[in-house]
Amino acid sequence: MSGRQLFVGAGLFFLAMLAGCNKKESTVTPAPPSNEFLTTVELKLINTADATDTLTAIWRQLDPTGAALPDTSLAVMNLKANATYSAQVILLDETQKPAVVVSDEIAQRANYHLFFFQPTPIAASSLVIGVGSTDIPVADGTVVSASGPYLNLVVSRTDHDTNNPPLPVGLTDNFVTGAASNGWLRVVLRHQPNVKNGTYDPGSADLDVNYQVTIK
Amino acid sequence: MRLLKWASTSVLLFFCFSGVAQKGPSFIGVSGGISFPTGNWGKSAFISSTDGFVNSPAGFADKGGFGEVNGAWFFTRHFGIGGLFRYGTYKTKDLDVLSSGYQDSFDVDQVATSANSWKAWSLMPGIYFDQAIARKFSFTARALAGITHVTTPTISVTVTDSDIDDGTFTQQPASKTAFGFDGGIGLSYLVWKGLSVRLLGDYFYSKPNISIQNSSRQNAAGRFVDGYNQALSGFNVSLGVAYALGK
Repeated sequence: MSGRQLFVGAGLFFLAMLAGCNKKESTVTPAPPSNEFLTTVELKLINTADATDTLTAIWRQLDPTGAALPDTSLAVMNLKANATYSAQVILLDETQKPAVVVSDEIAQRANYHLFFFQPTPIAASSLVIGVGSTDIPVADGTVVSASGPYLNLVVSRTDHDTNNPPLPVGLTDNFVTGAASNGWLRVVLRHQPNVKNGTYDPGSADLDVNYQVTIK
Repeated sequence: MRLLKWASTSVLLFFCFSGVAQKGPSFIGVSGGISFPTGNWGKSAFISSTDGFVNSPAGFADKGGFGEVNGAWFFTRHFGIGGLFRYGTYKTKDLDVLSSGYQDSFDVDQVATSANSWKAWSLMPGIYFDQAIARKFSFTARALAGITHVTTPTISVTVTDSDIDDGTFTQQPASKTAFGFDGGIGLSYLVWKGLSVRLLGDYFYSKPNISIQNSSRQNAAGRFVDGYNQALSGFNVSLGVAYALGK
């Protein structure tokens, strides 16, 4: 064998080495341990025309496993008719001492969280599904009523995230009441990691609670 | 000082002209080896941001493998002109760290990340030096400058929360050609009939300013690299064979 043949052989060897050098790598993270729970959902409302007209409605579930029934004795809102309330949603983890204000973390992570508020009973014609709406689709549990009487409450979000373009969040809101009526307000927080687009469907629910509402 | 200048000039002139009449060992060679990225390019970092994008200089480039063809024509006993063509790949390292950053950024149960490699090729002419230090051993050196073409890896991240697949976003591959240089030293050992084995160590450098596209990035959170303007430098160690021309 000549030196030239050996050299050509070595060249082919190096080419073969190069051909096998571009392997795709992949990894999957393990699930992190849960270190916070949403035990308490407070709605703090202030009548924009009467600062003395305030209320706090509280939904509480101190059992992180969800086995026990929630305490809904304070999940009640008595609102004045034809009024506008500015509302604030406060989320707490009361399994920790002192309680952790989880809504502060939601504010930091607003770019992929979105609150929905569904008054019921509601007419099918009043249900608006889409970007900017706070309504929850029928497919996700909203029951529309053909005959009423309807709860005369409209909720709109007033805060926005830092996405481009900005999308609503729902930690602060306006509650606008109409004529006297009764019903329920369902509050859902959607966790939409990299899929938040202003609509309800993407992602999953971090919380789903109900309040009894009386407008008079 | 004057003495030092005189001495160094004399040594240089000696090497340049002492062998004009007698040409050095012109050759063509192939080699392969391991490349070690340095600087930010070779670093990894836990990168988390919950309320906006963050672009980190960490390149996550692991050590890689490369192959090269090079050769030189010696116009004196010690100096020649030549060049190389080199192609190398560098795996994307510490994907678990990259994933953990996205997991924290989006507060999700699971992140699956996959990535292929950085790729780079260089075409560089330059000066070669050779000095025999024993009957079969030579000291070699080279200083080269030319172009380096770099392609960034494709990085795909799939986010899952509450058993719901929230989709995959991708950092697309991007390429750029830029000026680069390479300097190396090594040893050559004549094995048989004009065939020698060469062991080389090189330092390489290039700084392409690469624009990178991303797809399906809907919400502003986590690592987001839309450009990479860091030095792509490192050290190469290579082993190869060279065939002496005109023997």
